[in-house]
Amino acid sequence: MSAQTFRGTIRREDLSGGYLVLITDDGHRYLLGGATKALREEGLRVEVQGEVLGEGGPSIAVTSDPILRVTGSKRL
Amino acid sequence: MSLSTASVRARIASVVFFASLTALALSFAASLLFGGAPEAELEPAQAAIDRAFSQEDLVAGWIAVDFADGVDKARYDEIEKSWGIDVEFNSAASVNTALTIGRVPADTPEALDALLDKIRAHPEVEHAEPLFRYAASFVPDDPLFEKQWNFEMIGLTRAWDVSRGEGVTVAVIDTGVAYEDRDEFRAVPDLRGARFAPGYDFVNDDAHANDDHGHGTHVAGTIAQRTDNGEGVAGVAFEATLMPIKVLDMNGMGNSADIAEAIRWAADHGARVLNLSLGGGGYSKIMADAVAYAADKGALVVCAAGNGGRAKVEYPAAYPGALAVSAIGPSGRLASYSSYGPQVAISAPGGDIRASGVAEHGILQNTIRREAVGQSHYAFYQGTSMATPHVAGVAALLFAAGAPDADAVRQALFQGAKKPRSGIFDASPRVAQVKSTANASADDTSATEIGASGAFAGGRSIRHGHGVLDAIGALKALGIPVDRSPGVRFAALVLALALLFLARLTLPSDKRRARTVGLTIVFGAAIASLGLFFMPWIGCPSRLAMPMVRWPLPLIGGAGMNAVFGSALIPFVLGFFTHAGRCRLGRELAIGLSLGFAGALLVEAFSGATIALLPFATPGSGWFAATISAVWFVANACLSFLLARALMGVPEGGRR
Repeated sequence: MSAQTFRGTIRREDLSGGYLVLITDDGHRYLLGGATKALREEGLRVEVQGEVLGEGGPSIAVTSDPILRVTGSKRL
Repeated sequence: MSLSTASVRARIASVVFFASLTALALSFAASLLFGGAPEAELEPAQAAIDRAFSQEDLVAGWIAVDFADGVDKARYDEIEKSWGIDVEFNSAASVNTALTIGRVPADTPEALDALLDKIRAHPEVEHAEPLFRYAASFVPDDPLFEKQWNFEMIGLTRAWDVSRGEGVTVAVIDTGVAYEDRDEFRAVPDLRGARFAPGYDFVNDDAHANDDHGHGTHVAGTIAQRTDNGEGVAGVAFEATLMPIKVLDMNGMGNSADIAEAIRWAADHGARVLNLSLGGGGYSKIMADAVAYAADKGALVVCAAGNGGRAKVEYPAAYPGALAVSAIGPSGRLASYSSYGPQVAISAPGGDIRASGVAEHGILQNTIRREAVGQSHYAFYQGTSMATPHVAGVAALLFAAGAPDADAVRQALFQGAKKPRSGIFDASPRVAQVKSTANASADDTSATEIGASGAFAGGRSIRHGHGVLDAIGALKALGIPVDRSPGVRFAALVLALALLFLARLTLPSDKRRARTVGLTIVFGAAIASLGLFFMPWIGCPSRLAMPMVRWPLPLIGGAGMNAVFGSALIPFVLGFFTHAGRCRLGRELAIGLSLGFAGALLVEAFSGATIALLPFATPGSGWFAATISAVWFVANACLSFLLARALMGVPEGGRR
């Protein structure tokens, strides 16, 4: 699957010790993996490039949200 | 003439002594037999129960007041003004149960009674009583143990009196575990000294499953954190062996191939319980097959139901053969984040910080800081990931207590689980009872249930499965007796000594004159009826510090008490080797052990314990198994007694 670009807001979930979710402007939720160091801020407005790894890959989040493996990002 | 009078007096004295010992023993046995009064009788009997506790059982100057559900702090602060006392919620779990404790000024028992009567008369008070101390259970010295409300909720301290998970391997298939010092990784302090089996890192393909996230170490801590080590917190099955397996990367994400391989690897390398605090929505045939493979190999695969907060259980929890765990908070309610559905098998504490905003309503364990993997901290987590290791840990306790296979563990977990709707929620060993919330029931009925009418259609709900995890209930369902008080053990010794005098009295007079009652006999009776009771005194806590009839035998196993120790077999083997020889000490030890076994077996006849290895007595199958087991215990007690008596008839120097 090729890389795509998403715009949205970062949400720090408080479950399982914490993980990052991107809520896109069109209302989709993605679990964030990969290069997420710059994204660890609740409410951050971002544009993210990455690859969606199918629906609900196994993770500590234990949800059906698809995983977005981040390759690049910038703050908006 | 005077000699004969003295002999008669001695005889009368021994009869009186024997009679009083028997009366004492019978009263103990009666208290065991009738100890479990039906709930309806509790209220009128309350005064008698209060009196039955000695002053040492009471926490001086403290009472427990259980308000009607829904009474909050503001309301009880108002009510308590007229009583002149100050009560507060007992724990994080009390917010919805309205159970409070507080200091009272009353300095005499009469003043305390008068105050309690006044409090009980208030319409918004369900019950009030002195605060009881439960000293029988093992309480670890870990300084943060008091923050582990979740362990109280599932009855762990009493369960630890009979099982701590020794000899059972639990695989933690997760982000790894901070269990060794290697490169930048450091073992967290509260896992140092815990038991580990070799694991594997499927992310980096090496034998070092170090944690670079924190999730896996937290989960491993719930299962087997080092306990009673004066550091941090406790773990559910702290004598179990952890098998660290890394399948999730530093973001807590993984793939189905690694996880499927890890499941097979763990099952092939001796793990009896697999903990999978992970999941997602995608169905994977290879992972489903791996779960089926592990289940076929006899492993119990315990999985997190999911954190979607909706009626969809995620994978792998939803695969056939997996045991799906939903999460409850300290109130006993299903946590708002917890997934639910028909696959949910059981619920367990997973914390609920969201509901209250209070961090301490989470699950506290030792783990690493994600931003600095070499640094340790104690953190409150919440999630079905945290509920899952509670079930995995209790499963380890059940295996260690002699459950023969994963099916027996599964059945015991389900049968022993508490139904939230049943009302009484015996959650705290410090206080007599904590009531489950009315809200939990309301919560259930508002959901889409399997049955149209109620929350627990067919004994199972989509939110809690078979109910809320309960270690005590599960052990009992397995036929393992859990002591209610040290008096139970003492009763066996008293019975043994009573039988000693009965045996001596009924010996022909010439043999009686030749038989002295030495310390060796009393010592034998003591170690049979109390076990190696001195071990904890010399700093070696041991599972053998319990009555020999309850000693575990995991290899031959079977649920319930095993027939090797739970019978007259051991006394007969000892008797066989010592009856004819000249070894007086050996024979006296055999006499003592036989009497100790006889006493302990008589107590078991009334304890409701079941005996395994009897084809017609399936443990936990109700009155039939209990009756057959009781007959077994009495018959073996009689055999042990007759053996002791026969050995006592052997001349002290041995037969010539």
